[in-house]
This record gives sequence, C-alpha cells and structure tokens, in this order.
Amino acid sequence: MISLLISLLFLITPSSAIAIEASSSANDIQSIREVVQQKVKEKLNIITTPSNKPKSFFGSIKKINGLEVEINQNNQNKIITTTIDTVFVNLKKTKISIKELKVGDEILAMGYLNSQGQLETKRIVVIELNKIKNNTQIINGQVVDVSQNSPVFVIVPINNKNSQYQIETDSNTIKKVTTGQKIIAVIKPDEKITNTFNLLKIISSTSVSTRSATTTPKL
Amino acid sequence: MLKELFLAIILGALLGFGLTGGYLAINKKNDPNKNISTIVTPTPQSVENTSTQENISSKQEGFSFTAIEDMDVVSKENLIIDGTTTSPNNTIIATLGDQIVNSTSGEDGKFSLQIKLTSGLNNIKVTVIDSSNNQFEKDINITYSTATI
Repeated sequence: MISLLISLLFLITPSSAIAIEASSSANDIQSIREVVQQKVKEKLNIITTPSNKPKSFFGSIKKINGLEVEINQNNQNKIITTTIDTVFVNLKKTKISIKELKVGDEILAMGYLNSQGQLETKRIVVIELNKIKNNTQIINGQVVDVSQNSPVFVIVPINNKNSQYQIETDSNTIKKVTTGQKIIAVIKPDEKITNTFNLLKIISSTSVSTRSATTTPKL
Repeated sequence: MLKELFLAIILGALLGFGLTGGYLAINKKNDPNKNISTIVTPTPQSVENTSTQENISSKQEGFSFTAIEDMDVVSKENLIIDGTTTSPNNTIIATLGDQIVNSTSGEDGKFSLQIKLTSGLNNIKVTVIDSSNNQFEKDINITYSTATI
C-alpha cells in the first residue's frame, strides 16, 4: 500500500510541471491569436474601404436585373451596378444602351468599388475574352533533341521531367539550338498542330552536360 | 505486499507513459517557435477579383508587385511593372500579346519592367525564375482606357 502511495506521489509531481508548461503554451497561443486578429482586422479595413482608384471587372453576363448586372469572372460571380450616366459600348465601338446587353455577352466594366465589393460602373465595353487571353508559356528546361530535318526541337522542363515540349522555330534559330543546352523559352501553342508550340523567344541559354538528358523523343 | 507493489509498478508505469505521451503531444502542438514560423497571415477574400488573391500571396510564392494591382485601370499606354522577388538575381519575364520583356532582379530583389498596353483589357503574364530553377507565375489584368472613368 505504501508503495502504491509513493508511486502516486511520483506521478503527481511531474503533473504540476506539465500544468505550468501548458499555461505557458496557452499564453503563447493567446498572443499569437491576438497578432492574427490584428492582421485580419487590418486586411478587412483595406478591403471594406472603398478604393479611390478605378478598377475593372470582366466576364460573361449571367443576369441583368434593372441597372444591376451579374457577371461570371473566373468562375466567381461579380455584381456591377450601373446608372443612367454609365456609358455602354459594343464590339463595333458604338454607344448602346443597357437594354442591348444580353446574357452571355462578354464585357469589361470600369468604375469604382463600393464598400460591398460591387463595381459602380462608369463605362461598360463589350469584348471578346478569347482574343485577350494570354496563352504564352515560359519553359525553363533542357533541350533533349534537335530535329535534323525540320526546325523543331524538344525540351524537358527542369522541374517536371515527365513532360516535354515539341517546339517549332525558324531555320536560323534552330542552328543555335543544341542538345543538352539549358534554355528559357517563351512559347505559345500552335493553333494548327496539336501538342506543338511555336517559339517566340529564347530568353537565355547555357550549354550544359548532356548527361542529365533522360529522353530522346522521336520528332 | 508483493502483489500491491507489483500493482503499483504497473499502474505507475501506465499512468507515467500516458502522462508523458500527453505532455509531449501538448508540447509538440504548442511549441511557440514552431507556431511563429508557420503563422500565415490570413488572406481575406478579396472583393477585387480572384487573381488579386494570388497577388496578395505572391510574396510567399516568389515575388510581389509594388505599384500595380490586378484589375487596375490606367490611362497611360506605358505600364511600369515594379516588384520584388524573395531572393536576389531572379530572371523576370513579362508577356503581353507579341511583347516579351525580361529583366533580372537586383541584390535587393527589386525589379522593374516596362510594357506597352493596348486599349482595353490587357492580360499580362509575369514569370519569375530563381537561381534554384523554381518558377513562379502571375497573371495580372490591367485595363488601359483614356476615357474618363
């Protein structure tokens, strides 16, 4: 029985130390929580304060409700409000009225954000978003093959060796491209040939050992 | 007596292991140094657009813009893209239509590029590649309009 009591005594002693540690940790958590709350408050203030800089929303119209237009921008719904002074311009750059806008139209709205995050619009222009999309890609990789027959080479990105890009260029540029070279290439998809890209520019190139080249795809 | 002693040892061992395990678990969870290093300032839902959220967090993702913000409307044709990379001497590339401009960030991580806007919405892609070959990309949408907004 005495041993049992002694054992329990030993067990009680470290518990108080744990209590002190836990209390200290709780204080740390509280101070961290306060810092986070302060940061959140600052960010919320920035967001809820209406901006004095003009801003723009763009996307396709989902709904038109009187003077209010709801658009889908990158899969997010945005509300834009208009007034009788808002200017509407169609694709032919002709002034139109809000009644001529329809669901599905792609628009660019310019105005000022209010405290609700809605854009109080001064000007709405009908646009074609597919013509605006930037489809260039930057590939930082290594040349693994250069075609002998056509101005085409293949690069494998340094950070993703499981993918490769077949790039078409001109007869002058291809002369400067060698297998094993490390390059940063600006490319865009070829509109006619799938899985082929057109070279827009080589930003930098460095000759490196070809030992790390893992694949030699056929062109 | 022997039976009680044996029982006490077993009970003591069980409780001791339990408390030690609990203590270590609490310590691991509430380690102040660990917490401080992993604090991420919450990024509130931006009312401006989805890409702005990316811009706010871009500092942790390699670079940030200093003067321009996504969805800005500007009235000047030439846009200066100023920013800072998280490490020095990074390659910066900006593309817009047929334009490709590139630069290198300084020792302080600062960079500056100039790009010519076209009337209307401009979807600019900015890419940063650091010395470890990490690649960071951001799309910013800038509207150029000379009309009174």
